[in-house]
Amino acid sequence: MKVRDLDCLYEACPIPLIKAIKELRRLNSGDILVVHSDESCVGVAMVEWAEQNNYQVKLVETEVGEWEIYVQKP
Amino acid sequence: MMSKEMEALILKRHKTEKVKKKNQIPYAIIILVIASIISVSLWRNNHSYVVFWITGISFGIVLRYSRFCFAAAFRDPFLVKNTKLMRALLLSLMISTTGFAIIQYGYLKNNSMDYAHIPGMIISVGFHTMIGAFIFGIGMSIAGGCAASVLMRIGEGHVLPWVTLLGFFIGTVLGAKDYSFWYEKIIKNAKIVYFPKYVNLGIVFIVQMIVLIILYKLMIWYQKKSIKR
Amino acid sequence: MFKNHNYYGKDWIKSMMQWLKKPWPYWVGGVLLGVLNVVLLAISGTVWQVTNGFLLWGAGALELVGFEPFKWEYFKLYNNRYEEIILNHNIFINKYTILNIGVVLGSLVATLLASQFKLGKAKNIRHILFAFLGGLMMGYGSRLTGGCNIGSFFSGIPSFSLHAWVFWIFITLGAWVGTRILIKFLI
Repeated sequence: MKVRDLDCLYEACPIPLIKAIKELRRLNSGDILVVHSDESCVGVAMVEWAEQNNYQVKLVETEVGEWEIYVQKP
Repeated sequence: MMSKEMEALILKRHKTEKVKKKNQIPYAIIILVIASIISVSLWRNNHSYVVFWITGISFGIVLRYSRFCFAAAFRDPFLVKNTKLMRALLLSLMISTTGFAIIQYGYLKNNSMDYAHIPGMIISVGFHTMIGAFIFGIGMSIAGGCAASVLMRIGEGHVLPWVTLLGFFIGTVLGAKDYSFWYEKIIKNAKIVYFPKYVNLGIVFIVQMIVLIILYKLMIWYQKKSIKR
Repeated sequence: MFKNHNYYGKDWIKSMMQWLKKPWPYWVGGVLLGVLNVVLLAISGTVWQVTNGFLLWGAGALELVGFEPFKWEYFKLYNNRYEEIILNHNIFINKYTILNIGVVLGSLVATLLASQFKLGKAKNIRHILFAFLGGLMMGYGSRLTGGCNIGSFFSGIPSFSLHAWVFWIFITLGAWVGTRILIKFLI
């Protein structure tokens, strides 16, 4: 089980979402992607996308105004 | 929805929940108090501005809390096959269609059909609409948000929307300056098409509601059929 | 007993903070935005629009440095929108700009209530360039159509004007093209 971090801080939505989807395609089943973002809509959009596509997901607020979105490839 | 591995990873990385301790609510309250004082002062001086002030603030709160993004509403259906935002947008259009219909009905009972004064935004349609909307669509996508989104993100503390705002200032000014050119070429020959002029307002209202509802159902169907099996 | 009371107080603040952090569902936002626009129109006779306020600030700034933007044909053609504002010299503080300032303030309050306000920065020059170009295109496009996605589309559809439906089709096309450009250059 690999863990990959994706730093998308200071990037405007939808860039983090598109990058995350691209990265998830490269990962193997069971790997976890951690997306770092400071855009409020990215967190919600990623959770929405993950649930729609049956990925496990968890949105964690790490700092003031910063989030980590954990997504695991099924 | 979280697997045990993910749960373990999160726990490992975030033993201390430091973000739970930072509290910015007092600042929010201070600003709300100042905003209220301004509201009262505007109201006392019989200024119509108070309506715009309070409504603007309400729009801002709603946009931020619901993470509403117009750019995403237009883009998500083809980018990620998700129509949730577009459906929420359709809901807002259904509600405002109903409200505006009532308001316009009340107005037209006692007034003539003068497009500049009927409550609402009734302007001409033509190639300028197509070109302008197309350019706007591109700009909205590369800037990461529309006009309202720029305001919302400034309120969140981001710095890039200020750059977009600067682009807006220059772009709108250039557009106004160039308007004479476009007016000569296209706009002066363009017509205003206000549906209730040709068909009874009540019927227009019902047809538009049906169209919006059909689009809503279409959006549900579109997202359902794109779910991977 | 005093110790217990203190603990209860801290707990209440913590759960209040958590509750204030929760985002609302999209449909709630949609419903409220629709209601607010109706309320705004009903009380003030004006619909929600954003870029008019931007134009006035831009033109106002030009006026301050010596130009005469309000002599342009655009302002004569859109007399009903701007005449009163120009005559009363309310270029910087008027109904359009107050709406905009309100939106910023509302967003700021909402962000602070959720304790998520953070001063950001720009990632690199390419992001800044695209942000600027995007704003430029949106600004220019909004003048051509007579309003932005809020003024022309969001307020135009419920006004039963055909232009808003044409706007809808073409902004979607533009969004498609724009997203392709975004993916090519910024991903």
